[in-house]
Amino acid sequence: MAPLQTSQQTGTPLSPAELSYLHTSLTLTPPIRPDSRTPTQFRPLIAESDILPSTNGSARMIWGDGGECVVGVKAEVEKNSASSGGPRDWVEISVEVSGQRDDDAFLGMTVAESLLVPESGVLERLALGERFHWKVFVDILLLTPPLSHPATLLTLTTYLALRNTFLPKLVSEVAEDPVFDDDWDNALPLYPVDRIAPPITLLVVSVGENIFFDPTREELAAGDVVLAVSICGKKVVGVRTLEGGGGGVGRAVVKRVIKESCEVAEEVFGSLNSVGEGD
Amino acid sequence: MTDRRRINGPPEGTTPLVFPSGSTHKSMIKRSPTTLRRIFLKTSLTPPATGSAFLELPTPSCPSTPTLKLTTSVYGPRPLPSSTTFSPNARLTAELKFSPFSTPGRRRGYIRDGVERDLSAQLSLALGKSVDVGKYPKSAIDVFVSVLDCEGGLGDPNDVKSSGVEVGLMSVLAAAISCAGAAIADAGIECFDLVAGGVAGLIKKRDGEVEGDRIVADMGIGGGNDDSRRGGERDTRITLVLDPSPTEDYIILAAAAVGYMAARDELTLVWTKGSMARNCDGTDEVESLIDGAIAAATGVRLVINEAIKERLLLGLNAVGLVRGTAGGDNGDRTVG
Amino acid sequence: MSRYEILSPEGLRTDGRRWNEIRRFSAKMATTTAADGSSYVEHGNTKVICSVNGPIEPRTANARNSERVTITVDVCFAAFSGTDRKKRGRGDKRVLEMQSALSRTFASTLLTALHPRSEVHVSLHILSQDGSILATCVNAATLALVDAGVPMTDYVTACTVASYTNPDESDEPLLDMNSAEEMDLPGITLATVGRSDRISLLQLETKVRLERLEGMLAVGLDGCGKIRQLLDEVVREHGNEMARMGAL
Repeated sequence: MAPLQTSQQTGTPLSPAELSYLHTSLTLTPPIRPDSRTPTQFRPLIAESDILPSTNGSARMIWGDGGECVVGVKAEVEKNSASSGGPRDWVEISVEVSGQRDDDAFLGMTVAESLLVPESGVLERLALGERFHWKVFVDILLLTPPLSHPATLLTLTTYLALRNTFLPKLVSEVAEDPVFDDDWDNALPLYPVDRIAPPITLLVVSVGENIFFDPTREELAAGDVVLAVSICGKKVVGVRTLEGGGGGVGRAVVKRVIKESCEVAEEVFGSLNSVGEGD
Repeated sequence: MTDRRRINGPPEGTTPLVFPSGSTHKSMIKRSPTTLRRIFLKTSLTPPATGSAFLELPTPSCPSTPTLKLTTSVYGPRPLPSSTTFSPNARLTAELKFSPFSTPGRRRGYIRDGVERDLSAQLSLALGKSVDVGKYPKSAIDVFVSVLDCEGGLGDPNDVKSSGVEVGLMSVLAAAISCAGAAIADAGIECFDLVAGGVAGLIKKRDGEVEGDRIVADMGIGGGNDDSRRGGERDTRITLVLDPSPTEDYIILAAAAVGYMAARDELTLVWTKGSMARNCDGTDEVESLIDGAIAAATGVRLVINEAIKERLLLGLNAVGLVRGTAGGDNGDRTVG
Repeated sequence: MSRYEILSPEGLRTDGRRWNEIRRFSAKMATTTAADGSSYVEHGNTKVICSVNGPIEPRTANARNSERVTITVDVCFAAFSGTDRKKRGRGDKRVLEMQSALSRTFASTLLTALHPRSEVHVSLHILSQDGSILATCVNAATLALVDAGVPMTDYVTACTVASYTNPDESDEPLLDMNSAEEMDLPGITLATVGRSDRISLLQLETKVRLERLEGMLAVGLDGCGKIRQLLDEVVREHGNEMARMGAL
């Protein structure tokens, strides 16, 4: 019970008066955020992809508040076996938070749920003939947890890494043991551009009538409700409520949050896809 | 000379026991997509706890029906241990535990795994927003949910036959929320409102399967007795189903679970799985799913109301405040 | 003789280096704002991220020493760092050994008496491994400690040396092993303090003929000197950058 309690109680450094001030300034029209961002503006971040030569795909992201995340994707050939659970087992996700004893259940679940959404078309790409398949390991390393909730940082980095994940091209026949093309230039992307997109999770906080993206820790504490919305392409693939805020919210608010997330996600996809093109 | 160091078999042969191996999924009750399963809910069953509740879903008509059974006990408000720092609000912790025998087929260990931690965190979130924590400074409220039986399994890779979304965990969470909501009320802890859990799913009929008698793809009258031919005509359509149960014949495309406070019309928890698109006619699948789950939770709320009222009347009766029979209805309810 | 040639007849190694050349070395300081000091070191394909917090109040009771600062080191191998995916747990023998070697090395170089009853926490993440991991960790930790402003006498710099046996039984030291050389040849990891020849860490995991050791040490000391220069350049450049930005 201890880890649960700590995660719940590592609340805000704010006093009730400060919280109320922040809440009021966030409910204004137009709202005023402490760092004078617009509601849909993200904090500045540094992102680089394809940084590790020993992985199939990798990315690193550093946020202004010090959060740093490295994701490495590795693929190994594995034999199909009757005992394993089929394609669902072909992708393994682990989240390691530096300085924490065990993996974070919530983060791992969020990423796994949105990645393993049925009919996304990715699992079919992992099959190698009749007897073999790729097993993809997505290892997420949170070097320094950001001050706010790490879900956004984590999934944006994972998106970049998966976008840049390539698997060697299969040259053997369906029934044979798999043989691959040695030329890395012929490797096939795991997520082909324009066809399948990896999911991202956006953290959204709603205060009164206003909706804020990429909230800081203080904004999370002052919010009415905090939702983690996972979006894959143009589809919503998962919604989860996070701790923060008090009392319930009306259903209209939830729906509006989801709708706006979809709109913002398109912009985020656009800017993430441009990472690595500049250099 | 017998070998006394070992436990020997019986001297004469025995016939091995044969267990009837009937599929547990066959004997499901037919119901329309908008009908909830019958719920049994009773409070104050664990005397040492401040409040407690037991929930069973559905009330079994025959013993082979897969059921979802869970008990909740609430302890508190009790003082925080002196070592902890001052807290102006009550600290509500919820812990959800699967019994080792709860999953069909495979025994579960005692060690808390990721699934349990995740569900516990979500449960405490859903309950924490309904309890008036400001009324109880420096105190702790502990909620313990133990799942005794969880119908079709929990999406362990070995159980998954379908390629769809695993809805078992969501049903467990929704039931746990309802059960814990009733137990918190039973404990007499001040709440803003009772919180009830509901699940809804979007389903599609699996191709090539004939035997689809469980959920009839008819949104119209809640008759649920359509013949298979009519069901077959509509099977390409995606249907919204409230309170989906583990199926073999249908693929669950997406599902949503909510914690809902009906009197305030507020949500305390939203959890969706599966991909949900925006339909061409402008309706959003996410929105209809959440609305569906809310409708399911509203139905469950009526059961919670009944169960709490029954216990209350029983208590009042005991001290002689109310005369007459209390709680003729033992909490069973279906919503059409 | 191994399956392939470690050293070609022309005197070139598998990656084209000569015997006394180190791999491409690049380093950055102050990569993150979350820690007091941080660094990122690339040594060939070995990549290490390091962050230092301290001096801070000890997080555990046994890190509290009333005489001097305690140096705690966390080494973490990313699961994707090697050729095959492998997860190393916290209790892994090799990790524990590296941690204690690093903490003892720095305990002798930092001015530990200046901060009694406090802790300096060094956390190292190995993102990609291709030989000379411990040496790269030492260099990364030095940079991060400099960035954190922890008082220390001088740079601690490390490199590795392998001992190669020519077909004619003569021996040749090879500076800075990559993982293929590390696998086939006996080698040492050594760390020196500053410009002096004082060795603060010497690790030999396989057996090597005693008379060869002196040659290897001489080459290693030379290599440490080179790396010290490289680190010094990085630190000076970072310092100048800070001065330009008006931080000083």
